[in-house]
Amino acid sequence: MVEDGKNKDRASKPGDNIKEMIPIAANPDVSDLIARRLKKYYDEVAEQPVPDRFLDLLSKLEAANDPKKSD
Amino acid sequence: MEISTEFRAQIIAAIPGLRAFGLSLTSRSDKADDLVQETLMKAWKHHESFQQGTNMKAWLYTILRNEFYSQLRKRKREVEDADGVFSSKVAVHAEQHGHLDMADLRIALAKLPEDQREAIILVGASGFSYEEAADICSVAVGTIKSRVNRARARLAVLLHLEDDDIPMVDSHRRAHLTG
Repeated sequence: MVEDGKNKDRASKPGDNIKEMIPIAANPDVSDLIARRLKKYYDEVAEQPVPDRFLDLLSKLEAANDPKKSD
Repeated sequence: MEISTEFRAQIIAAIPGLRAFGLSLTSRSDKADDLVQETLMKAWKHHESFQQGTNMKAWLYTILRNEFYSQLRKRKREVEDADGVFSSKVAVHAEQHGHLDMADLRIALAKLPEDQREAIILVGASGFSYEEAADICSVAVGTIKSRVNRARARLAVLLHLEDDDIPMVDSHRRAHLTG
């Protein structure tokens, strides 16, 4: 019960740590710039086609998993 | 139990994002792809624990994240020993990358604590809501919000994006913001 309470306590005070960071985090220009750069960084990889390595792996897993195929 | 073609299709659709998330966590594309491989194998093995109709993408990101931290724990000593080497490797990668902005961002991300890095990537780049990110990281929503804000604040400093450096900030607004 005590441990449960601890978790709930943490969940119930979401604002505590946010307030101290508001000066920079709330600046919409800085936030926008960071958001755009993060998205660009992420999308450089996320927009690449799926490497064959993973498609091959899935095919192998599928073959191993499906006994009907070997019938 | 048979694995549906839909399950397979959903996994494939999630791979690009998983690779990007892995790279954000590790800063190394080879390590990132190893993480993705482990994730796919685990997802396949435990496909029965996935409930159709729930968020497959979040499920896969959770597996990748758990795998990352379990490897990190296993190699804790190795990671600590290599700490100095780590930043120089990041720098080399960044140069190969070519884009100066992206290089700066990659280095800055590597300097964030892991909990802040994953929070801002999940929310700011992977397209998850605060609630979904909180589920993936097994923490309260408020904790995720706090980590995202800390990460933003830290990135702003590391990337030298303090108010004065922002060309787009008009002077009225800046005066208002800085009081």
